[in-house]
Formats: sequence, C-alpha cells, structure tokens
Amino acid sequence: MFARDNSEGKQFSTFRVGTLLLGIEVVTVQEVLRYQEMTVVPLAPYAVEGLINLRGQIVIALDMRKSLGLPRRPVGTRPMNVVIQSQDASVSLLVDDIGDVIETSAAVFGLPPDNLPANQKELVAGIYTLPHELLLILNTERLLLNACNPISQISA
Amino acid sequence: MQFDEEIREFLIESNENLTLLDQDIVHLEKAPDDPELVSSAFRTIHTIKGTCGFFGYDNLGAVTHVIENILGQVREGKRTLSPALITLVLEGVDEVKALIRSIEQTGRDTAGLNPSIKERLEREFHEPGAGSNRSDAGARQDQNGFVRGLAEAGQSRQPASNQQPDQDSLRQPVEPSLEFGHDSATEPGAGTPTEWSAAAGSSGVRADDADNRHSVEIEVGAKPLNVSKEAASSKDGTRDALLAESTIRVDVALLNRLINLVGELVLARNQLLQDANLQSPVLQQTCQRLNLITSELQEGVMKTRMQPIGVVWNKLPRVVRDLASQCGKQIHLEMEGANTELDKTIIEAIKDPLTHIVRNSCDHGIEPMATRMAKGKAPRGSLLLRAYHEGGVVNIEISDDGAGIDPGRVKEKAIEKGLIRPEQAAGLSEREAIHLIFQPGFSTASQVTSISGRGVGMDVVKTNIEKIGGSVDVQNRGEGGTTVRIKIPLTLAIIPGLIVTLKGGAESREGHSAWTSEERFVIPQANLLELVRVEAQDVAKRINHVHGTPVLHHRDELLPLVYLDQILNKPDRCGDSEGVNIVVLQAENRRLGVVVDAICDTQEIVVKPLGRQLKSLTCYVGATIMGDGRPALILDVGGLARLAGLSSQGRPAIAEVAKKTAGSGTPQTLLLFSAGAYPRIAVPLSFVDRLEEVACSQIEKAGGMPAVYYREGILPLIAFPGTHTRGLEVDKTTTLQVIVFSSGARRLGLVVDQIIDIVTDPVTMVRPSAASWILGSGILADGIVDLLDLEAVLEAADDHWLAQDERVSRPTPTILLVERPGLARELTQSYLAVAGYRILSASTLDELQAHLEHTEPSAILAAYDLLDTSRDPECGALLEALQLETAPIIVLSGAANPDLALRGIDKHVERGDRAGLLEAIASAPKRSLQQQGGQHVCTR
Repeated sequence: MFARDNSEGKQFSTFRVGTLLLGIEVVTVQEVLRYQEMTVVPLAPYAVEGLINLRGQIVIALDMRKSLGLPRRPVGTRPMNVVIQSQDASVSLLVDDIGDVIETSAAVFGLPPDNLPANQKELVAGIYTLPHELLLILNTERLLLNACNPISQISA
Repeated sequence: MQFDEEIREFLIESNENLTLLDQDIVHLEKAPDDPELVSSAFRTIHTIKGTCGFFGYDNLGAVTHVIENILGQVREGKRTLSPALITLVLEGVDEVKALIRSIEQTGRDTAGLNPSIKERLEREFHEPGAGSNRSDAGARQDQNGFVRGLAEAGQSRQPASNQQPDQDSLRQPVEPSLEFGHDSATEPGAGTPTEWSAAAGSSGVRADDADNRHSVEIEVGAKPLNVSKEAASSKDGTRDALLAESTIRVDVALLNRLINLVGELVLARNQLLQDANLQSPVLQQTCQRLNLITSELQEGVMKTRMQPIGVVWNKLPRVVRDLASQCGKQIHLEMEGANTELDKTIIEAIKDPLTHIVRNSCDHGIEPMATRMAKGKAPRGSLLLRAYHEGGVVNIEISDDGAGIDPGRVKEKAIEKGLIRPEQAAGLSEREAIHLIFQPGFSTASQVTSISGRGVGMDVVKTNIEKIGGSVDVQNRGEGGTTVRIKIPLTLAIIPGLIVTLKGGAESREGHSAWTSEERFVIPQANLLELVRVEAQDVAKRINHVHGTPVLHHRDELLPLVYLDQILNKPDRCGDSEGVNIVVLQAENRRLGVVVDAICDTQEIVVKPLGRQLKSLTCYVGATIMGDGRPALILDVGGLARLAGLSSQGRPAIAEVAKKTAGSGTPQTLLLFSAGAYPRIAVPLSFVDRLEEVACSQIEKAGGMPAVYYREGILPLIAFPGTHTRGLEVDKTTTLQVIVFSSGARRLGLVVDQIIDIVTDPVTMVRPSAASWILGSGILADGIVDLLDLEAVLEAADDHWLAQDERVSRPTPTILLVERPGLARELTQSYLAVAGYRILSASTLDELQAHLEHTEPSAILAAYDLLDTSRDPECGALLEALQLETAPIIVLSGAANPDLALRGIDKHVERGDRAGLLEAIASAPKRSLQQQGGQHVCTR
C-alpha cells in the first residue's frame, strides 16, 4: 500500500453512468471486470440486474442506471462490472465505462447540491470539483440498502 | 504399537482436549468464577473419563473420575478454586497426560507419573482442602526423603544421561519408574511458581531449577533403572508419540474456500477440454492429466469434510453401558456400518438426536431382565445401530428388541397432556398415534428418571433432524421392539437437484443477449415426487380450471398447477401447444404441480446463499453454479406455493391448532364454497366433477326437478338450503354457481353461492353436526370449515329425482373399509351406512388383523393408495393380508389400475361412484359368504 494522507488526497475509482462521473473510494473496490454473463433473477428488486459468477462466488449485479433513476442503457452497449466489498458479500455495480483512479484533495469537496434529483441526492455522499467536471462520490452502503427494497422502482 | 481405530481417535482427541484443558485451568486461576471455563474443563475430563471407561483403562478412569468430581463441585458452586486446588487439579491433569502417553506407548494405563495423586485428589474431594494442603505438609515431613531422593536422583541421572534416552521414553512402565528432565514445554506449570508434589510413602522428589524456572520432577524407584530396555523401546515410543500430530485441525471456512476453488478449477478444466480437442496432441495430453488431477483433487477436498458416523457412535457404548447398569438391565449394543461417511456439519447435528434415541431405547424400550424373562425373551436386550447409504441419503436405524410402543398408552398420555382431544384420538391410526411421540411436551415414562422422561426428547430429535433436511420415522413391532429410522442427506452443501428451464423471451427486454437465453432453475430433489407430461391432445382433458386455478387430474387427485413463468412474472408466455411438462412437488404438506418449459436432468449442485438484496425473495433457497459457469437459481418449493397463493396465511392462532393436529389427518384437497348460512363449506375435490356457471335462462324442469341440458345429458340441479337462489326461481338473467358431482353415469349439480378456493390441507374433524347437509365442522390450516355431507345431498336429490327402488336394501352384512382416516373415509362410511351396511374401518395392518380376528366381512373395500406398493412398501403387507381373506376385495380409486388385476383384486370402483360401489358390493361373489360356516382355513 502506498501512503495516503488522511487530511486530503483520497483516491477514488471513477466510472461513468450516463453523463455522470461517479467515484468510490479505492479501498472498497475489489476488482473491475468486463461484461459478464448474467443470470436473471425473476421478481428481484428493480435495481438487481442478475447474478454473476465471480470465481465460484455468486455475486449480485446492481444496475447503476436503474439505481440512479437514469434512462436505460442503449441497446447494444454492454456494462462493465465494478465489484465492491460490502459488509457481508461482494456486490457488482454495472456501469457504462470505467474511468481513472483520481486523487483528490479535500479542499474541493462539497456536499451534494440541493437541486440534485432526490433519488440521486440520497446516494451521493459528496462532490469533488475536478478541473473539467464534477465527481460524485457514491454512498455505497445506502446504495446497497436501497437495492434491497423490492419496491424501489424509480420512475425513469 | 498398533491401535484400534477407536483407541487411536480417543488418544488424538484426548491429547487435543488436554491441551485445551491446561489453558482452561490456567485461565481459571485468573477468573475462578467463570462458569463457562469450569464447564468446559469439566466436559473435557468427562469425555476422557467416559471413553476410557469403555476401553477398560480403569486407572485413567479412576483419576479422571475424581478430577471430574472435584470440578463438578466447583461447577455446582460448592467450592471455589483456590490456587492450591488448581495446582492439585493441574497435577491430576499431568497424571492423566502421563497415563495417556503410557497408553500410546504400551497400550496400558499403568505407568502413571505420580500414583499418589489419585488418593490426594480423593481426599480433596471428600474433605475440601485436605488434598491440596497436605501436599505441602507431606513435602515438609519428607525433608529427609528429599535429600535421599536427590542423591538417588543424581545416581540414576548418571546412567540415564549417558545413554541419552528419549525423554518421553522415560515414562515407560518400568514398575518403579524414573521421571526426570520432564520437557518443560509440555509442562503446564512451566513459568509459574513450581509446587511440591512429593507424596507420603514414596521417595518422589521434585527439584526446582531456579535459574530458568523450569520445574523438574524426579521420581526414584527402589530398583535401578533398566536403561537398555528403555533405549530399546524408545524407538517405538517416538513413532507413536507422533500419533497426536498425525492430524491437524483446519478451519471449516478454509475448507469451504478450497471446495469453491476446486469447483472453479473443474469449470475451467471443462472449458479447456472443450477447446483442447482442436489443439495439438501434446496439449491434449496435458489436459487429460489436468483432468485426472482435478477430479482427484475435487474428490479429496470433498472428503476432508466427511467423517465416519463412527465418530458419533463411539460415544454410545459408554452411554448404553451406563444406562444399562443404572436401570439394572443388560443391553448388548451392536453397530453396523460405522464407516458410513457423512458431512461434518451433519455429524455434529445428529450427535444429540442419536443419543436421545439410544437413551430412549435403553430406558423405555428394553425391559428389565425379569420382565424379559417372563416374556420368554433373552434376558439380555439388544440394540442395533445400522447406517448405510441409499440413493444419496444416509439411513440410520436404531432398533431394539424391547417392548415396543403401546399406541393405546401413547394416546392416553397425549390426551392427558392435552396434546389431542379424546375424539381425535379415536380417529387416529396406530401409526399416527405412535407419531404423537414427536409432539412437543410428550413423554410416556410413568416416572421421570434421571435418564429420560422429561418430555423433551423426540420432538427435539425430530426438529433437529428436519433442520438438516432429514426425516425420522418410528416403526413399532409391538413385542418385537421398535425401530427408529433416520434419513439424512449426505451433505448440506451439495444436494441433488432437478434442472428445469423456461424458454427465453422472444425479444430482448433490456438489450442484453443474456435476457433472451433460456433460464435454468434448480428444484431440490427432496421436494420432487414425480414428473408428468401431458400431451397436447390430453391437455384439455386433464387440465381444468377450477375457479381460475388450473388443476391437473392426476392419480385420483386434482393437483393445483403453478405455471413457473407466470409466477415468476416472465413475459412472452408461449401457449401449451406442444404438451405440458409438469414437475409434481411436495412442500409443507401440500402437493402442487409446477409447469415448466423443459425438464433437463438431475445434478449434484453446490448450494450458495443469495446476498441480502435478494433475501426478501422467498421463492429461492439460494443459487448454484452450473457446469458452464453461469449461476442458476434454486427454487424454494414452499415459497413458490405461497407465492402462487396456494398456501394458507390465515389466522395464526387457528393455524397453530391446525398444525398441532396436522399429524392426525392426511392432506386432502378440498373445494371451498359458501352457501346459505355457511360461509365456508368444504367438499373433497375428488368428488367434484366440474364447476360450472349456469345461466338461469337455461334452467328447465325435468321430472319436477330443475335441470339443465348439460353435456348431452340432463343435469339435475339442487340448491343448497339457504342459497339466495332458493328454489331456483330467480331472475332469468343471473348465472348460478354449480358444483357438478358425478356418480357413475349420473350427475348432480349443487347450486351454491360462491366458489371460494381450493386448498390442500390436512383436515381434522372436530365436531359432528346435526345440521342437514353438513357432516360436521373441521379445522383447516387457515380456519374452520363445515364439511358437506354429500350423502345427504344425494339423498335429497334421490328423494326428488330418482325412484325409490334404486335404494339397495338387504340385511346388514359387514364391510371392512381399508382406508386412511379422514374425510374420504367418513364419506364412504356414510354412503354405506345409508345403504344399510355395518362398517368396520382400518388403515393399518394391525387394525386390519384385529378386525379380521373377530369378524368375517362380506366384502373388503380398500383404497388404492393403501395397496399401492410402489408408494409405500408397507402396503405390500396389507395387500398380502387381504389376499388371504376369502371375502371379495373391491378397490376404490380414481382410475383403473391395470396392476391390480394381477394381484387378485376382484373389483374396481371409482371413488365417489356411489351407485357403482353399492352395486359392486351387492354383486360380490357369494362364495365367501357360503364358506363362512366354520371352514375359514386360509388364515394368517
């Protein structure tokens, strides 16, 4: 591991979902995978896209577009998997594209603006202002918890 | 030394336990009040004591016994652990270790470290403080001995160190033994202040090496040490000293991970093998080897979790021996198949239930010697444990040759304890009565003994075994004894499952190709009853819709159907154009048919849990990874049934009552409807031909009765009293709900208010009713129902509709009705009673034989399912008994079963065909009646 200053300079894995640039702290990301074949789970909560086999471990894949209430992924494009560690098991987040690992400084950190759509605001822990765009930091625990709710279908 | 497997395991286990014990006792010194530590130490010693008693190590047994006694006092709070007492106990533990080492090396437990320790422990036990204090006193008194001892020790140390014998080998059983230079690493007291352990009467001395604070124990015998013997046996000794190190403990979680990884390796290999066919021969060869190695690795890893059932059984001889001597009985224990292997988790889970059953057999089953002899049995009772694999499950049988279970007494007790009501008891078959012993709070022991009889036992046994997916059954052979049969899966992690598929949707839903592919699901084999395919041309005939619920006519039953794709909300359903594949399943006392697109094969699957996002879905047990590496969901049949609304989510209080009584009734599929003043009336679905809606405009009159033209015949209609359609003179525009009953060629339509539901539940008759058309009230899982008296309905119809001469009238011959108790039996009984027959009913061989001893029935009426040997082997015995009778046998079933003709069955009548039944009885061959005059030879 490399040294990380607590006061600033947090590292985030970034990825794109729709037009948003999202980030998760590097330490919680287990691995990033290309598109994996998925098994559909009928009657599953809205955000659950399916199950993938991660080296013998069965991992639930959550569609970030559905979680954030974004329009569906265009036909023909395949999502990538960002596998994160949650309290009990690994969960895969389906994202459009993987970005770089970005190191940020606390100076540019801010709380999510109030005019963010409610369902997104809930899942965003904070915002970093990058030179060209904004990086939305995901509240992963909240995300995983919301996905448990069978009626969490968001009108897209 | 060569050891029996049992002794080997005992030694390994004891060594492990003793290490723990040392820790526990040392911790106890810091926290003398920790009840858990005391209990743990007590258990460890107890285990060693118990096992060594069985192997005949009396010396070891005596030492552990007294330590156990002392720890027992501590556990009960009769004394506290003073440092002196702890020291004494630790010395005792050392002695135990020494004795165990002695067993390892010589096979005997004679060479202890310190023979006097036992006496001191005993003194301590009887007189707290005596043993532990006197050790100091004894040492002081022995000051002279100390000097002499040191001198002698010095002498004997000389030759010994010259020879440099193995330190452990010095614990050899040379009668007066020499012990010194004891390995400090194994000394629990190392690092703590050493203690004086010389005992009166011996010249034992303990020197203290103050420099490194290691204690050295020296015991000098009177005779000089035979060093050469020591040296010779030391080679043997070192080899066996490794015994304890031949096994290691591994975290089960690590094993699980290994199993996962190996599973993955297998998948990777499979994929490689597919591709390798096209590649170079060298690669192919390598793949072959990889293939073999992987298979072996997989097997090996799976084996790591398996343990022979003997691990549990080993503890039983001791249990049996103790019980036998406590109860003054002689019991011979035999074990067959101790090598049968089971998953470790299952071994753990059956340990207690098994002990319970064995205790029960010894305590309640096998009689005292005098009683046995009076009965003409061998004075020594025998108990047989048998384990064997059979079709993916392990069977464990515990048979005794005791007094068996008295169903009468079981019933009495159950009534006494308020588990059942007297009127319920009367309706119970022997088998059902005996199963009452699995009810919570049941115990027939007239006296609560120290061994059993507290009323916790068999219900716990049952719950524990069912928890791991097994089942328990009791077979009572009367004076022949009792057999308890346990069936358990080999392993919990891997279960056999049936793979079924649903076709993919026509168009991709989300734009991913995965969505369009076929979806696979796994159904646990444990729930599977049979597979049925209904061809396209039969679909209309066999699959009907009863009040919106699809049902399948199958084996005398109407089976509720669940379309898997519908229930799982899968769009783009295809029609049943090519026939229907149905998986008949059983879950939670109900049967249902699940319609799937295709049935593949069965596979051993590894069950993996689902993450918390999917925990709310009760229709899945978990998921598994299929051969191609993709996950598949495992269906929970009970959850599926609930999802389909087949279940009963009624008032919990009544559900509880029904559950309690559930053991007494076989599940019945009932049609529920409301009519008149009765909100819920039930009638067995097997009596129901169809449900129809009849427009009032269609109603005509035939023979003075309202009737409709129906299926090229006349369907007379009769209204349930109090229906709002009273007299059927209603507004011509409305439609009526009609239940069509068929009775041979005759049909009758019963007009009711509303069809409510179809349920499959055990129904218990609670209260007979005086109301017309109602047989009585009963309890279903979700509430109370009134049961339709179909006989009365037919009667009423007959009064109006049929000529009186259709009634059969004859003297009162006896008919023996062989059918399970329940609604169907009651109804058949009521048919026959109305027709003027005397009816005796039986559902088990014993009941049957009891009746046959007293009476000579003019006909025997038997339910097909009680004779169907393919379902239950016990039926064979029943059938044989019936065939010995001269009375004609008439079988009640829903369809002609060709195999019956082969087995000497005279006649077959469709269930519910009242007229046909009466006619069959009337026209039964007369020969049996003629032979009745005393020459009834063909007895059992």
